[in-house]
Amino acid sequence: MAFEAVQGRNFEEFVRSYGNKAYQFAYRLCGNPEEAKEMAQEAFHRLLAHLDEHDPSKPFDAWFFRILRNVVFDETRRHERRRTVSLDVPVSGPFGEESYADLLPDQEEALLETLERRDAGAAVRRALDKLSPEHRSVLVLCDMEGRGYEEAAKVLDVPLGTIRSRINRARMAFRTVLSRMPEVKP
Amino acid sequence: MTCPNSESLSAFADREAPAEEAAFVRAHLSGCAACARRLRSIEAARRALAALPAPDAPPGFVDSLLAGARPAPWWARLLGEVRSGFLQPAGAVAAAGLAAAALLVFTHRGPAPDAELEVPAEVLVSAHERFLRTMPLAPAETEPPAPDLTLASAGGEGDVF
Repeated sequence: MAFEAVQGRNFEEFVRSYGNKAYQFAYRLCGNPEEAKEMAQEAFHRLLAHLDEHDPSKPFDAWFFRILRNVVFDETRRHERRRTVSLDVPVSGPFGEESYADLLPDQEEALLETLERRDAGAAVRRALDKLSPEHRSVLVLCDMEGRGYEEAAKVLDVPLGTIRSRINRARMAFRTVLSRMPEVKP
Repeated sequence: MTCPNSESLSAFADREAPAEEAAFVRAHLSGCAACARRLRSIEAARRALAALPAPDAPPGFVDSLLAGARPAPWWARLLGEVRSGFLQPAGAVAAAGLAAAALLVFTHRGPAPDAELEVPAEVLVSAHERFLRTMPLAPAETEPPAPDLTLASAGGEGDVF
């Protein structure tokens, strides 16, 4: 099927509009420039190979980012052993909702202090990498790319309510992981 | 005093809470230091994540994507299929015919500039036929099964390859 017939513009225009965004999205998810490049390339290849499977009732760009996210997840699964939290971990996250609620006030203060430090970036990245791919992708979409719940729901193809609960659990998991890092000392 | 749950606070921080819920959280925050601290923590986490670098793609990346998407010339595709063993029997016969015809044309063009390199056509055709007989034609026997590219996870997210 011709790309233009599906998307309403030619492939080159689409690549020029989305090439850099795809790279940045992949980079945010994996944190590695070489891997991000390869993953973005693979996503464009899959897009072309499966063009006729696009459901025209769904937004094309959200579909493309979902393909890209799945490419990243596939790669993550291949290198799963380097991650602390595997894809098999339930979507509710590695520590569950209550564990964050149980953080003591001084732990919370220490966490807050770490998050507000200028040099928090490396610890924040490490904590993000330890999350399940489901949690990482919702944080990338909403917190890093600034997308609203509705847009994130389209990219992840889940109901709006799922985004609301998932981002909450992702944040709790993220803060719990971070609070257990050596940089965060109550 | 009932504190809002963490999901309410999270949605409130994102300005995604419905008006009634947002009003309840706002009113509650003015009198609850613990919830105010939790909200600050959510907002700080969001800012820290947003501050992580997301560099632009390296120069030439978009051009390389476009170049990679262009179909290869016919001879490169044929060569690739032969090399990977994916050539189907009918294609192999056609390729053998083409190769034999090309060899015949080549050998009837006149004497080769270098007589020492001249090889009889029968020898070349026979060698090529031997190659085709021994080359793998059934990818299923030589290739590992294709990986499952679907994402076996929750919530209808595994339906895109």
